[in-house]
Amino acid sequence: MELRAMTVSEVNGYIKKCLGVDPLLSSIAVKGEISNCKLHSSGHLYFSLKDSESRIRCVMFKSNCDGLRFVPAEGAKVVARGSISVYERDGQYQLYVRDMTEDGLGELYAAYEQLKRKLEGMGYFDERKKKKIPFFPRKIGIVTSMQGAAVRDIMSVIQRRLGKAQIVIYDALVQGEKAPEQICRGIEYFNRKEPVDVIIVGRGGGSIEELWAFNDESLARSIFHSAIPVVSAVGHQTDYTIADFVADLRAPTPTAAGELVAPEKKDILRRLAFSRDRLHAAIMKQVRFNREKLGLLRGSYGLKQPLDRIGQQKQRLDDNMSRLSKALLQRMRDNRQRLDRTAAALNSMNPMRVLARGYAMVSDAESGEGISSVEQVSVGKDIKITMENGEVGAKVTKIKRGLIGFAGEQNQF
Amino acid sequence: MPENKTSFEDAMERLEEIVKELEDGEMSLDASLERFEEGIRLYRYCMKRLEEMENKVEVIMSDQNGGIKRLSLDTEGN
Repeated sequence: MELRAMTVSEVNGYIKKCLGVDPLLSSIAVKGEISNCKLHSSGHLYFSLKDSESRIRCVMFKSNCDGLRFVPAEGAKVVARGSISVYERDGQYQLYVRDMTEDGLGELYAAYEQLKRKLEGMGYFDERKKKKIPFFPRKIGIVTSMQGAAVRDIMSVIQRRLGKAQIVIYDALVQGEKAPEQICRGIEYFNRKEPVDVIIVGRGGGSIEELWAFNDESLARSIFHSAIPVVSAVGHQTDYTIADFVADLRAPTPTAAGELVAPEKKDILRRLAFSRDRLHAAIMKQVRFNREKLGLLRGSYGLKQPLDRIGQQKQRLDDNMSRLSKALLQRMRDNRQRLDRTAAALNSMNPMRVLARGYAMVSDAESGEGISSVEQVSVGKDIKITMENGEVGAKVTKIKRGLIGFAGEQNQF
Repeated sequence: MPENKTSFEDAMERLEEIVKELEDGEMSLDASLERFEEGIRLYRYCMKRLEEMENKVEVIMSDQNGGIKRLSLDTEGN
């Protein structure tokens, strides 16, 4: 039986499939030394891994290269993780690298991952446990090295934004074996001896080993238990340490930490002035509204009516007063007239007036009694005759009885 | 924690809350005036806090034996 001839493409395709289903080859970690390293303009990285006897071709695509924490160089000892597959065009199998670390760091990474899982399980990264960073800190604590670049970055940002600031820096080693302990002591110092509103813990960028102090478990515990909010500021944007996960707030860089902690003073002033203006406007509006309401009320019928009534009553009172006084005057005038009339009547009856008309009054010269009848006298009696302007003494010489006349004048009143 | 009971942010938040309440205008005039006074007090408090800000940088250095040394930094320099 003759074998069916396969095309080259078929063969390469078949091998690729075989490799693809192999569990070891589809997820593999290979350690070796980098050689023939070439960074293509596309951003993909081509190199070989070799040991003393053998080599394997490797490719790392740009998207994966971006996650690299070191710059791959000739001779570097690394561990590359990925899968082995075939580049069909050349019939070449190669390692497609997903990520790569410097050899020796593998253990560190494992420890890091393990610690991270452990702390996460203990709730150290729980968002609900995170303390609020004060919006306007009075006093800021920084735990970092006075020798590093981070301290200057943080301070200059804070002072630029706040103008004035109270900063206490706890000088601590930020790399090496003793670093975690010193950083912990710094955090404890602020918690126990020198209260600050917020603590920034961090350092500038560096290699993974240099940042390693921030992956320490006791430091994680110290940050977690700090009563004062902690902001972490370790290395660059791409560096994530355990301290970053535990901290109440992670700043991507020390400079960013300064910005997160210190508000711009002019922003605060603007916000305050805005509030004050709104406060004034609101109360003025209220006052104006109430004043208008009051004005309306004052002009309202309800309020006007009682006033009106009083006015009417007043007018009526005035009216009555004037009528009263008028009546009184009238009455006085009437009385006066009556009095005058009576006086005139009285006057007309004055006997002196009768005498003035030529009559005379006769009386007894001795007793002074008036004599109005002839019966009261006898011849020879002394009588007195009173006239308008004097008296005459006389003696009765003759008596004649009977009515003499003057009937017309008898009933004058 | 700082000595002062009312934190700056609390005062600021309360002030903004008062402004909103007043702008809603659903309060009696008496209550409004009370709130207004409180608002002005808070505003003054915040301004005072801003003006009171100190410029002071200190460095704490500890030696091997746990002893602590305190150092004031010239704030104009580094």
